[in-house]
Parts: sequence; C-alpha cells; structure tokens
Amino acid sequence: MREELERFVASLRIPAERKPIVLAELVDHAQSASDAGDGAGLGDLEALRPSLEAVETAFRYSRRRALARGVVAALLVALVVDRTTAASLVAVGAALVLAIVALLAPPHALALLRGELRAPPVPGRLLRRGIAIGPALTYALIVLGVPPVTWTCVIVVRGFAGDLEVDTPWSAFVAIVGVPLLLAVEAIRARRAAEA
Amino acid sequence: MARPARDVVPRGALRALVLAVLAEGPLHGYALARRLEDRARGALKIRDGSLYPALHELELEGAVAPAWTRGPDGRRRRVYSLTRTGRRAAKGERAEWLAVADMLQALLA
Repeated sequence: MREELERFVASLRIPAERKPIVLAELVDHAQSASDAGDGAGLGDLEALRPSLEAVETAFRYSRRRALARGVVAALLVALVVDRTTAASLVAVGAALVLAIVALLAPPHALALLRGELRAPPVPGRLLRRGIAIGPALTYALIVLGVPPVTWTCVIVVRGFAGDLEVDTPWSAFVAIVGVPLLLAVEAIRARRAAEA
Repeated sequence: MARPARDVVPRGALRALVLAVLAEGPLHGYALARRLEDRARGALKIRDGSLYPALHELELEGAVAPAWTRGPDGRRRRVYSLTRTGRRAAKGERAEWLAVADMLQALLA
C-alpha cells in the first residue's frame, strides 16, 4: 500500500514541499484503516487527484510570502511615485507602477484572487460575514495601503528637513485606482457567481 | 427500512461537519472520518480521501492548525485543531446549514 501511495503522491502536480506531508497523512490514514480492520481505506486514489492538486497548489503562496512580496512591491511603487512627479515622467511612472505590481504579484494572482473572493464567508470579529483574506487579497491590500503611508512619511521627513514643496504624485493614481477597481470587478463577479 | 448510507456530502456541508467535529477536540484524519460516521449513525459513509482536501483548505484559511504527533507504531501523524478563526467559522457555518436544513424541511416536507 505504501508503494502505491508513494507512486500516487509522486505523480501529483503539487509543490514539492507538500508531497511529504500529503504522503505521511495518506500513509497514516491507510495504516489506521488497516489496524482497525476497515477495508474501505482511502478508496479510489485517482478520485482524490483533482481536489488535492487544486488545494495543495495554493500552499505555494502563503500569506506570509504574499505579505513580503507586497511590502517590496509597495516600497518600490512609493520610490517610483516619488521620482516621477514631473509632468513629463507621469506616463513612465504609471507604467513602472503597473509593471512592479504585476511582476511581484504571486504567480496566478488573479486566479487566486477569484478563488478567495468566491470562498464561503467567514464570520469576523466585527462583521457577521467576512472574507477570509488569503495571499492574493493580502498582496492587493498591502500594495494599495503601504505606498501612500510611505509617501506621506517621506513628505513629513522632508518637511522637517525644510523641504515644504509637495508635487502631486499622478503616477500613484494608477495603483490607487487600478487595484480597488480590480477588486471591485472581481468581487461583483464572485457575488454574481454565488447567486447563480 | 433503514436508508442506505450516503457517500457524497455537498462541499460546503463537509467543511461545516469537519469544523463541528474538530470543535470537540483535535483529531487526525482517520479519527475524524470515523467520528463523523459515528455521529451520522450510519446515514453517512465518508469517502475518506475527500477529507484531506477539505482539511487543507481549512488550513489555508487559518481555520485549523495542524501539529505533528506519532501514531501507535511511531509513524508520523498530523493532528488538526481549530484556531480562533476556525471556532468562529464553525459557529457561522453551523448556523447557516441549520437554516438551510430548516428551509428545506419547510419546503419539502
């Protein structure tokens, strides 16, 4: 049985670091069933494949890793925004902001985001029906929230240093408008899918 | 006449059942499957493998926390317990599914 399980887990298209965990669980389950004289065991392993591959792939992008990526992206966005306030550089700054956000996003971020928005609601501390914040939403919220805070801090620090001129960061509006727009569109689509 | 055991549970219902059983205390996958069947008194036959994707999905959401222990012969065993988020989710999902059951009872009885 163990060899069969090893072959099955080896053939799964899931992150390598998850394979020992899945194998240990399935082996323990099969052995427990055998110890208890339960003939059914795990049943048809192939029937398990689609759901295991779907859920295990999501472990590749933990919230912690998405948070780290988000912080790096947000700091880079804040830097670009700060350096591209001149009218002639707005388009370049906006393109750079979009490129940074897209390049540092967790792989398959859009698919992850759709999955998170379609997940069953979770009761929160403040709201009766909340959303479970997964890696994609973590990344989106960090990219949205950290650049304005960083940029405000930069303005305050410069103000104390005597620089009281503040240029409008037009290129920042790409992220400030684009990310909430994407979230709103996907949230509406998720709601429609849930209602259908 | 006893009704035959069902072996297909709606996906959302399986989550709610797993959360409800884990609310009573930490369990590993096999024990969880048997506990669910015991509670169903023969009305449900869990397709055992289907528990693991559901458990891992709950782990991703932070609703359950896994811990490694050792089984009887020293083999590695993963035991799941509810987190604070999981306890809230268990209450919410229980209420939702009981409401659905009441509605279906009213509509179909």
